[in-house]
Amino acid sequence: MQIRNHAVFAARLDNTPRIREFVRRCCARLAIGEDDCFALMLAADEACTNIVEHGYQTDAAGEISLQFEVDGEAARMTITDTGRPFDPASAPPPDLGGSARERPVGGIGIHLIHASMDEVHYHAEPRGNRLVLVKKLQGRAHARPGGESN
Amino acid sequence: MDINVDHRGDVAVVAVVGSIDATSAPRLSTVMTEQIQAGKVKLVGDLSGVDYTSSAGLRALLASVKDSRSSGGDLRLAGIQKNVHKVLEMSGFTSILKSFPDVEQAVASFGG
Repeated sequence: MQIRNHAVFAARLDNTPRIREFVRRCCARLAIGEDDCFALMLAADEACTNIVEHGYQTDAAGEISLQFEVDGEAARMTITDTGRPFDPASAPPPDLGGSARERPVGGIGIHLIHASMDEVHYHAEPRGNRLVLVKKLQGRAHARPGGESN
Repeated sequence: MDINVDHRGDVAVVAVVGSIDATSAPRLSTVMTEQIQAGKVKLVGDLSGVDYTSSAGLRALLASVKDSRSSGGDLRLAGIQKNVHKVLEMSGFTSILKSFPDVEQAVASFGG
């Protein structure tokens, strides 16, 4: 059974707590375990922060759409926006070795998306971007029946 | 996110409560920078009240550890919760930041 939840957020940094809360509530409804839920919240936060900071930049009128689905044993988040094209896979991986002094301040967000998700797919759309993040679920108890919109 | 600074000898304990993300991390950076500029270069970040950090929090911590070390001090962490530890580990930060189970041990590590 596929269960789907959907929400739209104004593309502002101060909406990141709401985005995490939306993901947390989806996980609770769908009986997704704590570790998987944390990974999904983190990936959604990093992806949406990138969209606000790099995709929309100063465009305060932008929106971020987040669709959360569970199909079988995987959770899938589809994040769409109409900002500038930005493929997370195109960013160079950060250097995670070496001392603190050598470590660049930044570039870690995209690494965290890849490290916490099993699949990351980027699609350039005619009017923006679509990012699909997939997490294979470790353990799921008994999901409440029926989807629900935020 | 709430931040409280407590001075124990020459060590500044910066206690953070809540979630650190792109909205709140700049405030943490500001507080850390104020301490370092005031000569308090031995810093303990008490994270026992932090249940979440994104990469924005890591950037704030990394900038503070660089600044404090270049001034002859250090930033050491205390009371890291499971999920925050996971993010530090995924980013390779556990090898560059010293961490301790609690504030007392982190303060004592500076050698009084």
